[in-house]
Amino acid sequence: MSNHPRKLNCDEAISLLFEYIDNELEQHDHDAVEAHLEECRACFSRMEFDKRLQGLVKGPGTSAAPDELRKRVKSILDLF
Amino acid sequence: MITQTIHKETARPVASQLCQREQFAQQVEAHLDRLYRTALRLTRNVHDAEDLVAETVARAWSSLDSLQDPGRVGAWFVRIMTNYFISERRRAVHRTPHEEYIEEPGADGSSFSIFERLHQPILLWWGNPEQQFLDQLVQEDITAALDALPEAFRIVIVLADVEGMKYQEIAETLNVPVGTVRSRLARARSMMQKCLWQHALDQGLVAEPPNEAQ
Repeated sequence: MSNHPRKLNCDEAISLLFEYIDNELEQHDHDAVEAHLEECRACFSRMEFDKRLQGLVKGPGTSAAPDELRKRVKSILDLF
Repeated sequence: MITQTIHKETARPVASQLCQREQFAQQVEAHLDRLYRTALRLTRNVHDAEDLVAETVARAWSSLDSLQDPGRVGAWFVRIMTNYFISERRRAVHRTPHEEYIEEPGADGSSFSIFERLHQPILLWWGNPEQQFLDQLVQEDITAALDALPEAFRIVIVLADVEGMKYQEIAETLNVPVGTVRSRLARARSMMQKCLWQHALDQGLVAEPPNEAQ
């Protein structure tokens, strides 16, 4: 059995792209997508774009819980 | 919409109960911002988000025995929050039948990619079109696109992209097969990209090629 990742065309690589970004692929599929991305600039750019967009969904991470909520949660904890 | 429930304390020895309570309070404090952020994404408004966090804390305390891995308290909180949110929404949908909680596949089954749109040969760009597109987006655009998703799709995006959960964790949280998580997530991202693209068109940030204009 060859250690080389199997060859993917662009459509095949794109169909696996989200799962690749999410790090959810089986190792052999992950390696195959990675090998394709190393050779295909268009698919690599698409992966980078989708990855950055997902990063924006996560948000800036600055939505701190308001003081009102902190007080409310504290009063709940005091009941325990 | 959400009513806060304080469950009756189950019998625990006083000393261990105090110790547990302190540890629990510390964990709540450590995860409060994260819970609030996720609740905001789920409920789409500040008041419901605060209710959801408060209810989650109360429910988490009353089901402390269900915490199997103390190293994953955050994911456990989120699971409780998501389950409660879904059950409340299902009840609400029951009351208002026009609101959907639907899981059917997309009308045409096709996926939508902003990247593909940006790289249609008919569009002329100087520089890097996808970079320009991302640079023009503001957080409000992302929030609006996420908020526009039907509930079942918004939830998977929140769990995957905001919470960073693995597909298996999402499947366990939602009690659906992993395959459903994969397909729902793919469709949710496609819908979100379509919404962002439409927003960009409406704002004049991009131009639809003549043959695509509807």
